Amino acid sequence: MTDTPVIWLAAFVTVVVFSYALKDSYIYRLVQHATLGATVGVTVVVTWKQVLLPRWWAPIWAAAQGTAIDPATSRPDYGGLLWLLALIPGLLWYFQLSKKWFWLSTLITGLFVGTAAGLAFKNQILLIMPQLAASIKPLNPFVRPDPALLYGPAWPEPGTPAAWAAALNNALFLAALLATLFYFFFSVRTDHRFLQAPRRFGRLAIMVCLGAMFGSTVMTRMAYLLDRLMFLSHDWWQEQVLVLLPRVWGGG
Amino acid sequence: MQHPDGLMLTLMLLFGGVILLSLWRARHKLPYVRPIPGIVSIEEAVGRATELGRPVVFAMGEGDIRDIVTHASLSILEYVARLAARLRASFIAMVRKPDVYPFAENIVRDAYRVEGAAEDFRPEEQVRFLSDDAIVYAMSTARLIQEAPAGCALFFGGFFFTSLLMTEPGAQSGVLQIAGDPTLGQIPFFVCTCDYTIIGEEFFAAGAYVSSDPTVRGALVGQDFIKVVLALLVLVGTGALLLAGGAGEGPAYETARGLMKYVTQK
Amino acid sequence: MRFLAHLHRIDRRWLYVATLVLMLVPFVKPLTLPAGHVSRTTRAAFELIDSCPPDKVVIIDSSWDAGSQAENRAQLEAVVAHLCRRKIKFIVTSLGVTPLGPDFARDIIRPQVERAGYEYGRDWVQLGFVQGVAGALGPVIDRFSRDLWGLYPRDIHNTPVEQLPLMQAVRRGADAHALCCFTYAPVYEWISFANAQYGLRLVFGCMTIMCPAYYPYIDSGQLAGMLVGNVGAAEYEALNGTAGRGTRLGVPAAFGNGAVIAAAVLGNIGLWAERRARRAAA
Repeated sequence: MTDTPVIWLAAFVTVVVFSYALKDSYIYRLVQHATLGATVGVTVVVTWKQVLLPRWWAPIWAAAQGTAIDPATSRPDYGGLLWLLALIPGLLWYFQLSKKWFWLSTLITGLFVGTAAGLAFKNQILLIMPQLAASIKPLNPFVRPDPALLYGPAWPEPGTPAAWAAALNNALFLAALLATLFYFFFSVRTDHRFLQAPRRFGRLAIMVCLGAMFGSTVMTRMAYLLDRLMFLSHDWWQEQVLVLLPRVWGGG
Repeated sequence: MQHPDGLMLTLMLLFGGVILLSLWRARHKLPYVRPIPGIVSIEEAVGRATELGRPVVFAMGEGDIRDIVTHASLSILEYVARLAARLRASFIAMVRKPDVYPFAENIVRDAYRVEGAAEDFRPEEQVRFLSDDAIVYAMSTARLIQEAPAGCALFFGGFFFTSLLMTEPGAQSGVLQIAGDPTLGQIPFFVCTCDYTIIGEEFFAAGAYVSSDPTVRGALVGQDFIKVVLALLVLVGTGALLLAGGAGEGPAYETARGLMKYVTQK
Repeated sequence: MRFLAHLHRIDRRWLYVATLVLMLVPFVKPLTLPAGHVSRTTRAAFELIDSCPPDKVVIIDSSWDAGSQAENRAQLEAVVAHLCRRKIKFIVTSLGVTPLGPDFARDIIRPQVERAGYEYGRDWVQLGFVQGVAGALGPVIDRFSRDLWGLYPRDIHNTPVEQLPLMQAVRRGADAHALCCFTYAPVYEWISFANAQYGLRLVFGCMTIMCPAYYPYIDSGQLAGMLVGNVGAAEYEALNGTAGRGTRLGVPAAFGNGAVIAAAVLGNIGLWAERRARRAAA
């Protein structure tokens, strides 16, 4: 349960931030700057408490004290001290601050960039290849495709309007896929008049996608607003104001 | 698809080979890259800011130095910094990640040096880092654009939920804004609040367009070729499935089935 | 026509006020809307979790904090309510996104498991946060899938996992019946590493804004199900026969979205009228 002063402070900050929708104000800026400072502070504390302390410092300290026990031999385990070695690559990052020793930091940067590129390759292949298979879709409404080659919902009875709709849907999908891919071709001239139509269709497909995303965005923003309204109406108004007011009046 | 090592190796060799071949060809003849409207308009935006006597604000994306997107943003940063230095426009780069900061500073310093304006470069003022926090970064960038006020604002890189926080104040005060983000998540916001938006892969092509480096351009050609291969695989598979009809055997059926089995390793 | 042209120039602050007032109406006077259609993605998620056999567990990766509680909170509440009703055992992790994830998850889960009579260690376990690097979570998720004990030698209370009865059946993440990941935007490495390599079935609970990015993976079978924002939570609650936060937020959300749609339509009519008037004047 959150403490009363915290709820009142959160309610105050929420109302002040909402006020920006009507007008920028000094108090809004004050809250904005306080938030910036608090966020930085919280990040430092949480990183130490949740990451560095339990996962780095605790094993080192336990090994140094001799309290870490190897379950296999029941003897003290000093392996935790190896975590001290993590300081070496970690400290390499700080050479970014030196103009003379900057090159040392590029060692760790290069290592990370290379690792990230390798992981990204594997990630993309594992993501995209099943997508490629799922993009091979049946287009003939008169036959029932082999279920082993079918992704997504079951294929309707051949020849029915539902099968026609499914085939049309798949044809549209294929056209949008190819046109969108074509839109992102950069090393060929696309100003030829025969190439204008697929380019335009590709752009249209992208715009439809962006429109869907924008609709989703509005819903998310609305959810943010609702979350705050819910907080104000329930946690603050009902559980604080309506509880406190009778006490204040009763006491008075 | 349990540990598809064979598929992974084949594709690595195929894609790697295609890229290497494109790089080799690019050394002999610099490949063509079609103009991208958002990038072409950067020159106009910087020129307008110079005429107005207002700063050009360049906001880097939120990825760190390991992110390949950050490297593409840095090449665009170099282009814009050189443009600003050449026109003697005031230029401010905002950096979100501490590990990107020294790279950004070096790039802007070099840009000023190459354009013969090394004495005009003031690192503390022109390359800024405030905090490694998305909201802090967005708020400070928005505040800078609004209060300076900026002549133009450019946003390049991968952005997260704070994209609208950053671009909305500029849009309200009529600042010319151009954004580029290879991920689709924030593009709708940029389309609404910016004058030009560079979407998806255009972002990487932008880096190649502003650069005459054969390596960058060659890689782009290689990527286009890979796209052709993937599109052909889909077309072959779809054609085979169409030809197979309802049959559960035959060469067309086996082609479609074999292709789908191979790519999913199932 | 001149009146219509003014619609394009309504001060945006009036729109804010109108939206706010409309959204506040259901808070003052509780209203209900007729139950709507349950989407394919939510139904698939519900059916997957509902089919969990007694000897299996579900893993919940709760990696959200204040930044995305607006939608992830209702999703987590809905799924935990379902798990508790069906007495399904579960493990809670928070991989790589936010160190505050475990705290936010605990506040939502604890009241529900206490009501359901769950015993910690036997029926549910919380393993805590593991640091990861955004964009490079692959190795963490890979290890999660093949060696959960190695990734999490201790739970959030610092108890060695081998001492927790529930963990005896789950040495690898891939041993779980399914994994539900609740966060702003679940990382693709769940699909490429946990699902593609280890066959772990996945349910994503994401912010509405991110859902278009994940739909292709539903069709290809790489994702088993998805809860889209608060709507997904409300649908899940409808299938589970409960009325939680998702359902409560449904009515004001519908009012707010209705206001936005109305404003978009009126604004476009205004723009059209203004252009027409300008053309007529020219």
